[in-house]
Amino acid sequence: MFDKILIANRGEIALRVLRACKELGIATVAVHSTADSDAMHVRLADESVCIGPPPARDSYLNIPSLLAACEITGADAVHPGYGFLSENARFADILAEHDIGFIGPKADHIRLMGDKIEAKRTAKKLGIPVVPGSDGGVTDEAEARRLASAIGYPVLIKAAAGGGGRGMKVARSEAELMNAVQTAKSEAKAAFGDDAVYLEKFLEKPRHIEIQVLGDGRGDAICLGERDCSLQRRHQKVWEEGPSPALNEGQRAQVLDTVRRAMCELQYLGAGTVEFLYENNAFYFIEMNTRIQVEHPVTEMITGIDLVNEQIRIAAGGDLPVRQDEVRLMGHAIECRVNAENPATFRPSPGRIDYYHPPGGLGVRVDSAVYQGYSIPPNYDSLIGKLIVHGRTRNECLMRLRRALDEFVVAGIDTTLPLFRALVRNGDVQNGDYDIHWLEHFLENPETIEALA
Amino acid sequence: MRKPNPFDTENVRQLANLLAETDLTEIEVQKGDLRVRVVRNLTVPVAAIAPAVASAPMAATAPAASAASPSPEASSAASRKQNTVTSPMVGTAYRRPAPEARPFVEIGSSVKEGERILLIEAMKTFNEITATRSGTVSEILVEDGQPVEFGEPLMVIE
Repeated sequence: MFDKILIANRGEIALRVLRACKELGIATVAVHSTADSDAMHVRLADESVCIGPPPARDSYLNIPSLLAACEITGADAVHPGYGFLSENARFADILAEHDIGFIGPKADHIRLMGDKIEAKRTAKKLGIPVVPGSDGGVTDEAEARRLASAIGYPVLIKAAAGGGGRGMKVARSEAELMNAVQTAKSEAKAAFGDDAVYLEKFLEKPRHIEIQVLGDGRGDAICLGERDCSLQRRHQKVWEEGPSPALNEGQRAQVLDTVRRAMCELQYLGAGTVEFLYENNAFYFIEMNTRIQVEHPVTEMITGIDLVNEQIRIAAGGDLPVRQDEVRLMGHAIECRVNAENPATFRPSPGRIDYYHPPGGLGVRVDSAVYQGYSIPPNYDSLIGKLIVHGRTRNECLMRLRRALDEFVVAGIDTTLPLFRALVRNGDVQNGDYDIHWLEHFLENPETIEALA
Repeated sequence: MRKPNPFDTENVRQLANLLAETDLTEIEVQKGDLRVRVVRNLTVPVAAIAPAVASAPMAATAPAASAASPSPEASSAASRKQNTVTSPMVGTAYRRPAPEARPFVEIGSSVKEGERILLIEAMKTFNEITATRSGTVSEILVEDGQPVEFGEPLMVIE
């Protein structure tokens, strides 16, 4: 087991990792930019090292600085959190070269799943259903036209080096196709440094359903249920829940089994999430995230398994916590990502939190690194924290969420709490009746805008 | 029955809070015979010594120092900050070029801008730290072999 873990991240996930380390009796090193000197996890860590000025490129993404921090503190492992370097295979390789543990998957799997074309090929080979599309990259005009006809319009052009909803263009007809391909290619080149694109069938009203996995790296893996993350704005998840209101026991069992076999065959190590679009009773693989995700608490609440704790244990060579037949999904959980943004316009609202009172009570969890008097720096994302609520049934969970949201006070900055208060009272949301476009339509509705302003 | 106290401390407290929350430096309120004037203390040294605090252009509270003229303590603290060489990286600081050699500088040494004053080592690579100005070394804030972080004060050259 590791003696000292360096937490290469910030904000709520850094605090989350710190908590897991403390519970395992592992010493903690918090690294931070000058903008995060007052962060909660920095205060709580055993040691802290300032690694650079505010820009992420000079601090949280600064590999030499992170390595030097490991060196001077004697850290024997790094937890990369999510975002930043968590899916940077080169970082994982460099740590391995320096005999420092990387709490995450094998570098080869990070690389594999980071290339979206290769990821899809691999998923297909492993028996995971994929979205019908081009088998590889598309460069040639005639090929693009032929493929699109075969797939059937509308089609989606996606960047191979993209992911997380970025680098995608829709073409609804052959007339739109070439223009969409050219635009997608040049945008991909600018954003990801690689203009390789591939084609996929565009699904009109799918849900986003993802499966949480844990693998021991030696051929054994377990699936810990699913999360429905269909409520998104500009491809950013806003509200996640598990289990999905759209699936019945049979559908769940089948997809969990398919994913589990695939992860066993892959010999996957650590925590990961296999993401699907689900439409008309069919699952379509879109990508795999080889890291811990923002919405991991939803799974923790319904399974009782501490995922970050397990990441650390598994990275140190440990076994999976339970067998697949021992995994139980109990009750229902919903997570709301509370951002420092205007609830109607989503304009960022950095600044000082004058008054902070998080909700409490049975089944209420707040994963947040803010505190009263804390100033949210403008240099990073606007996540204030996550409110996660659990209930024995979805209805109980919704009632509890409504109560918890009404208690939650964050004063001094704008927050998206009013949006969640509106969502929890909405009929479609209460019925679980939504797809990945639902939230944006809801936000475009003048009545909504008026209510939130 | 007790006579109500004409001097309302709660009012004064509210006025003082108003000052603290805004850019105002002075508030005067008259009510009948009672006149209350609350003034912000301008001579408190306002230079923040905390190294490299993030500038917060969106911060809700405006800095109180904008109207103040710097006091002698404030300006000496500010100039010390300007004369302090801080670490540009994470690593281990060395005061001498080799274990047996003499340190680059001592207290009282005279240095020219660009002259080597320290080495910081990270991942077996040595980086030269040079004087940011010419002057005399007045303080040495690290020991030989001490781990340093980004922004850590290393030396003061006056």
